[in-house]
Amino acid sequence: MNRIRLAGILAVLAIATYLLMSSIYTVSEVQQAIITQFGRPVGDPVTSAGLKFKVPFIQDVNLIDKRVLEWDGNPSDMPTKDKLYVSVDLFARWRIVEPLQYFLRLHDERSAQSRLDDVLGSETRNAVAKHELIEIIRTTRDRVPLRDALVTDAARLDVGSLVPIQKGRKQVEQEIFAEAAQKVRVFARYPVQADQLQ
Amino acid sequence: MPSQWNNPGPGGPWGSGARPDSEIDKVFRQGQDKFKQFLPSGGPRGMIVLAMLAFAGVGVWTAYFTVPSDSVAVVQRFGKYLREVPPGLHFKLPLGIDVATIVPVKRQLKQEFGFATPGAGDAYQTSRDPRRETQMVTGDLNAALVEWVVQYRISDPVKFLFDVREPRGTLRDVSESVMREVVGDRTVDEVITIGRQEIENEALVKMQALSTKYAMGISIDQVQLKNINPPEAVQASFNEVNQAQQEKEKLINEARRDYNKVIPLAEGEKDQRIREADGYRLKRINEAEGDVARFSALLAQYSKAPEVTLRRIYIETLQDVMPSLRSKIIVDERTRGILPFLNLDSQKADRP
Repeated sequence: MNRIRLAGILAVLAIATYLLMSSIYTVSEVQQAIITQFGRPVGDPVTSAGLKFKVPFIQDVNLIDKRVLEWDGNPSDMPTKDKLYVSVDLFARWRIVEPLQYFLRLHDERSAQSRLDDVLGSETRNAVAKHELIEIIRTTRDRVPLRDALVTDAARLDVGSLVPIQKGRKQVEQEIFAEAAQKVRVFARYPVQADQLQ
Repeated sequence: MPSQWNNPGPGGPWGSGARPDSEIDKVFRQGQDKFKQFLPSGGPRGMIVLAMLAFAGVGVWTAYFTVPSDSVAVVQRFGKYLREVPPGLHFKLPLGIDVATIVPVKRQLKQEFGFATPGAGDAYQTSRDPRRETQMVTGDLNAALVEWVVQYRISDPVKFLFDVREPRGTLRDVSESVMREVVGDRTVDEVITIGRQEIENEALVKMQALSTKYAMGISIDQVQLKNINPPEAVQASFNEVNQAQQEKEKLINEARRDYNKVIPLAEGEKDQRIREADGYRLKRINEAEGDVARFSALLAQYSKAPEVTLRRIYIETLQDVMPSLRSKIIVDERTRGILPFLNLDSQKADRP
């Protein structure tokens, strides 16, 4: 008799624990969550961290990263406007600002990364092909090379000259960024900042 | 976990005082006995006690943590940021409720670009492919191999942990990008020779600005340039150019030395000649002027008394002329038959 009651208590306890466990979840500082009910998103995305509650069994938690995420392109050779090849290694940092859209359209980070590959890859090629090599190398337009104050000999004063530019690297980066941001808006994501060119 | 059992820990079963303190062996045996009592015949009650004790053991095990002196720990409760704790022994809620992450904020960290110190513990300290990141294009479209080091610290552990997923990887990317930007704005001569200090400073400022923008919680202390070389394919030619330049300098110096040897000598000779010529000129002029003066004086006398003067000039001239003749024999015209006596011997002696 006693045994059966004990077993019963244990069973109830186990079920209660299971219910409790499946109705609470934690969201870390680096995450945000979307609650889906039978696969359909319900309510606003949870963006604050801490211990949260949900309806057990019928609701699922989908955790999405809230941090600034990395995207690193593979170095590749691209032709410039003056038909020189330059090896460009692009990096970008991006962040999910609309988790719901992100969840619906891309679902996970792997597909997001591959979309970024597409968008940034093609925009980089466009931008590089539109500019001459020197525009991608240099940044400030009117910088004069340093001269050694101690050397006054005319022959040795010749430290080389900087090729004049119109725009410069910063601006090219911004162009890539602007174009890519526009395309990425379709996926409701937002690359934080581009670029490394080599 | 029976070991937890036998350990007289703070949450252990023997803490109540049911054992003699001194005899560890006895305690151990007693413990084994009790353990055996529990397991086969204790039934569900024994099982529950066992489970509870194991639970308590794990709880105690996970309720404290130590923070090393060069770090702080960030404590999260159910994933939510709770507090930051200084070095030392600390307690937290056990069983995964509180999670402490240790962040080495006081340690000086560094990242190397273009080279790799072997045996680095930090995966982000060196690159997988150092040769790639060292190649750069300068502002005058030359190539250079640049190696540098970034010294940094984690200044804000909360940002470092929660704002960016790969803060150190991001720092690597930022550093590479900034260095390319700075080098891309300079000529190869500047990069290799006089511009190093300036490059370090500018790169430091720009890297700090970008890492602040990304909210990485990293503060950059120093950027140090290591070797900067021309690319390997060019290096031989580069050295040759340098040698040729030195050769040129050497030849110029030699020529200058020869010049210094010959030219001052010639200059001196020139001066001497000119001075000699000047002297001769003065002498001639003075002589001529003396002649003129004498002649003028003579003329004045002559115009006063031509007869006398003429005679005087005649006599003077003869006075001049006569001594140059050895002897002059004057014979009266009327004298006849005189044998002129010529002292031939003396004449012979005088005029050979």
